[in-house]
Amino acid sequence: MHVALVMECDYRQGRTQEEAFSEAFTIAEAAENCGLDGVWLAERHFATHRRPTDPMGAGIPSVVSVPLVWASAIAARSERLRIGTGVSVLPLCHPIRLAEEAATVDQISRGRLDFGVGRSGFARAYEGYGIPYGESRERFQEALDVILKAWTDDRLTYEGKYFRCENLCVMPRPYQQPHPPIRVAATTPDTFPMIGRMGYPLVTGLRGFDIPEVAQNLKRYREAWHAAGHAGNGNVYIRIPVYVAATDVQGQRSPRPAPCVPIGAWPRTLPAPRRAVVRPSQKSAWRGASASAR
Amino acid sequence: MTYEELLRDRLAYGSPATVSQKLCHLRDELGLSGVIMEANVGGQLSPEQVLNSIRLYAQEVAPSLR
Repeated sequence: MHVALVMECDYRQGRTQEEAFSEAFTIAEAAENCGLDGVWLAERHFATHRRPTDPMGAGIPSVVSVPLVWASAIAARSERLRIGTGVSVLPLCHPIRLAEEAATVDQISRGRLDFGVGRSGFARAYEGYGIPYGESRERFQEALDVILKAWTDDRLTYEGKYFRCENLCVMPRPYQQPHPPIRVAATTPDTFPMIGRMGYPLVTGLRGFDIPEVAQNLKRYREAWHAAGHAGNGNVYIRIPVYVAATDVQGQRSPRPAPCVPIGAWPRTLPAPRRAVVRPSQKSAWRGASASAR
Repeated sequence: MTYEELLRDRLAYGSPATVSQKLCHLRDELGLSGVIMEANVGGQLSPEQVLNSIRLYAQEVAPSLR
């Protein structure tokens, strides 16, 4: 059982980006020293504070746009921790470049990279990169194909719809052979059986789904896994909000969020554990604070 | 959804015993190979609270999950 945490590398109102970097490294160091198995680095583009006039803002700003660069720095600061991308958005990068970078991180970390991949649900990032979101699934499949061949073929020749290359020897090779473990992100129901057919471990979360829905999606993943003739029962990693404190009261006290939380608008509308118990007179202030954070 | 419903269905918040119980239940029900903590959803916790929570998760919750 792999027990890990995800690093969104958020920075909160009133903090600087420099502080966000240093807080994130402190978290990675804590994960290493406390005995967690791994950290997973998100990939968030154009994640600024959201302003009413600026649709590009992501609500919760983040400094992790290039997870493999972060992974490299964390690799240099740790000895034991597995370091995952959670996930690398394949259609936004040239696959040969990604194969080179991920193999480099795998070498630097001496085999501690978990290569999490996906296409991301944030169409905004695609707009910024000038890539049609409608092509994301096809581009994802092709990019993953290219990356795996780049790591394993002596000479890579590829003729796809989006990528073509001939007789390339892609260097360096990954430290882990034949390649770092692949984890594929699933957020939409039709992605689950697709990953099962491909025979890859799957990463999902509780955003947009409740547990029975996740169970149903995983059933379809495993059915597709078996139907394709893969050995075993698949592997599933789940992201879930966790907050542990000394007591239940400390861990769960929180102001009531706005009356109804629209699921799917995760994560900014999900209530976080708060620092203090809220008295009735403070409720309006909390609402104001959460509204401005959106 | 109310906070109570979220707390029941989608969040693992509480003491080490409560969080262990929730995550073990989730592991068994979904047949999980891994649990990945989202340590500060909403960004409202102080760095000290996050680090303390990570330490408790690693040292008091993780052993029951493995």
